[in-house]
Amino acid sequence: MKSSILLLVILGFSYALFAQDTFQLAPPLLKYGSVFFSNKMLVEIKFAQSGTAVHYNLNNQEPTVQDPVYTKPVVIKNNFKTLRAKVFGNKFYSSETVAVTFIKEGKTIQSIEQTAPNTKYLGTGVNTLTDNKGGLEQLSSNTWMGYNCDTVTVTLKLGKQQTVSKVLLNLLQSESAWVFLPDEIIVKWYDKKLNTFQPFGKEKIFSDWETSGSHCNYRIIETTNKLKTDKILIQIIVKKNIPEWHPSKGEHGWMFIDEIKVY
Amino acid sequence: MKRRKFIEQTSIVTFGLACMPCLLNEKQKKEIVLGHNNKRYRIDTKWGALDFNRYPVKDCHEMVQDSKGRIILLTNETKNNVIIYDKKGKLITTWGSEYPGAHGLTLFNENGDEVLFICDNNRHQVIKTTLDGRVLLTLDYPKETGEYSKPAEYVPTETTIAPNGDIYVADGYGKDFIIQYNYKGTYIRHWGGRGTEEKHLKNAHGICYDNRDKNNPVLIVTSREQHAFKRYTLDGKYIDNISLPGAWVCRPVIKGDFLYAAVLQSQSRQWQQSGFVTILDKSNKVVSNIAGSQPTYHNNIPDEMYQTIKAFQYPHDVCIDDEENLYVAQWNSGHVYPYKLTPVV
Repeated sequence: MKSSILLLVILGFSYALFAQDTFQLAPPLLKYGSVFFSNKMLVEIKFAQSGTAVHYNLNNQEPTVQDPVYTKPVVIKNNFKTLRAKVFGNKFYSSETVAVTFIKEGKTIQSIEQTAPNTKYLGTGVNTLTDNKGGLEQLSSNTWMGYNCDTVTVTLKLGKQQTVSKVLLNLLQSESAWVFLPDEIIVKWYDKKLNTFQPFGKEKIFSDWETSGSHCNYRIIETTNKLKTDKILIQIIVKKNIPEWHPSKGEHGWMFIDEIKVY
Repeated sequence: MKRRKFIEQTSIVTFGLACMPCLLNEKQKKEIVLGHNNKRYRIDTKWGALDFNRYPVKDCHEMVQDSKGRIILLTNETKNNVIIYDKKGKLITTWGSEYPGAHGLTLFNENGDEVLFICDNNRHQVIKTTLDGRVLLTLDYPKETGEYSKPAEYVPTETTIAPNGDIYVADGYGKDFIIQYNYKGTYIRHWGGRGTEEKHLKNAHGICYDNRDKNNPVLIVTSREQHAFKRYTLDGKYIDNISLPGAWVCRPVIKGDFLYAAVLQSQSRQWQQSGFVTILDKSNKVVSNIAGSQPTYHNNIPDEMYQTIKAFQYPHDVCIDDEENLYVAQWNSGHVYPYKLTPVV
C-alpha cells in the first residue's frame, strides 16, 4: 500500500513538473467564391501552421491521416459533393472537420418575383436568389436577402413547361444573430389544365437548440412524382417567436436566403 | 522480509524515477512554442488564476504594468473592477465596484505620479483615477463636439495620453469619433467618425500614442471592422492605413520597436472563439501571429490572417512587461483569468 502511494507521489510529481497545456488546432479555411457552380470549380484550402497537415476527402467520411494531404486546389464537378477537411499535427489535438457542400445549377429560372426583403439586407437585387452566388457563412455578405416579416412568397417562372422533382433553398442559420431557419417551407406547382397551384411538397423545421456560430443550411423539398410545370410558388413561414431557450425568446426571428434551385 | 521490502520499495522508486526522463522526452517532443520569427513564446494559461468565489471576473478587458512592475487588470465585474498581480501571478490587491462597463485601461505617468484612465461603456464616461482608485477627473459625453445629443450615443472604449497630457478618447462602440482634450479635460477637437473615406473609422476600438519614430510621433487608431489600424497626426490628420486582412484587431500597444495587439477573432470564423495575438515591427509589418497563421505578404499587403491553434478564445488586450513577457486578457471567454506568455530565446 505504502509502495503504491510512493509510486503515485513520484509519478504525480513528475507530471506536475513537466505538464503543459495541449491545444486543439483550429479548422482549416476553405476558400471559394460561392458554393454554387455551373460546370466545375476549384476549392483552395488554407492553413499556415508549421508542423501540421490538412487531410481532405470527398467520400462523406470523417477525414483521417489516411486521406490525401492537401497540396493543390481540389476540383469539384458533381452536384451535392461535400468537401471535408481536417488538420493534424503531432503536438496538438486534431482540428474539427470543416465540410462544405457544393451545389450545381439546376433548371433555368427565367424570372422571379418575391416579397421585398428588409431594406438592411437587400442582397444584390432582383437576381439575388438565382445568380449562382452565395453559400457564404458571413451574415454581412451581400449575397443574403434578410426578412423579418411573417411570410415570404416567391414565384419562379421557368419560361416553358419542364419536368421538375426538387426545389432547393439555401438558408442561413445564426441563432445568436436572431437568424433562424423558417418554421415551414411550402412549395406548390402550377397546374396549367386546372389553372391553379397544386401541392408539391412541404417541410416543417424545428429549432430545438442553438447551433454553434453561423452556417449555411440548404433544404430540399421533393415531390413524390415528377411533374411538368412552368411556374412554382414557394411560401416560407418565418419564425415569429424566438424559442424559449434563446435570450431573446418571444421576439420575431429573421430568415436569410441567398439562392433557390430547381431540379 | 525486510530485505524483500527494501528491494520492493527500491524498485518502485527506481521505476518512478525512470519515468521522469520518459516524461521529459514526451514534454520535449510536445513542447509548444507559439508565434513566429523572433517573437515566439511559451504560454502559461494558469498564470492569473484566482479563487473565483473571492475574486471573480467577467470580461477581462485590458491590462497595464505600473512602474513597480505590478500587472493591473480591468474587468467589468463590480465585485473587483481592478485586480493587481505581481509578475508571478500572485494577487496583491483589488479595488473598484463602480465600473459596470469597465472596458479601456490606460496608465500615464503624470509628472512622477502614475494615474489610470478607465473607459466605462455603461456609464458613458472616462474616469481618471489614482492607482488605488481615487477619482481625479470624470469626462462625460462630449456634447461640445456637436455630434452627440445624449450620453447613450457615446460608448468610449479606449484612451491614450500624449506626453503633454492631452487625452484622446476613442468612442469605439458609439459613433467612432476620436475626441481630444487637454490635460484638464477641456475639449480641443474631434475627428474620425463613420463614413466612406479613408480617414473614417468603423469600430474605433483602440488608440495609442506611437513614438517609435522619436521625431515624428503619431496616433494609431483601430478600425476593427475594417481589419486595420489607421495612423493620424497628433491633431487628427489622416496619414495612412495599416491593413490586417482577417484580423479583428483590438487596441495597439507599443513596446520598444514593436506594436502588439490582441485579435478578438478571425474574420473567417466569426463568433467561434477564433482569436490570436499579432505583432508588428517598426515598419508596421506583421512578424508574428501568436496562435495564428504564419505571416506572409503579397504586394506589400498581408495575406489573410486567422487562428491556427485554439490557445485563446476572444483575446481583448495584450500587456508587455519590463521583461518582455506578454499577458493576455480575454473577453467573453468563460471567465478566464489572464494568460502569461514568456519569450523563447
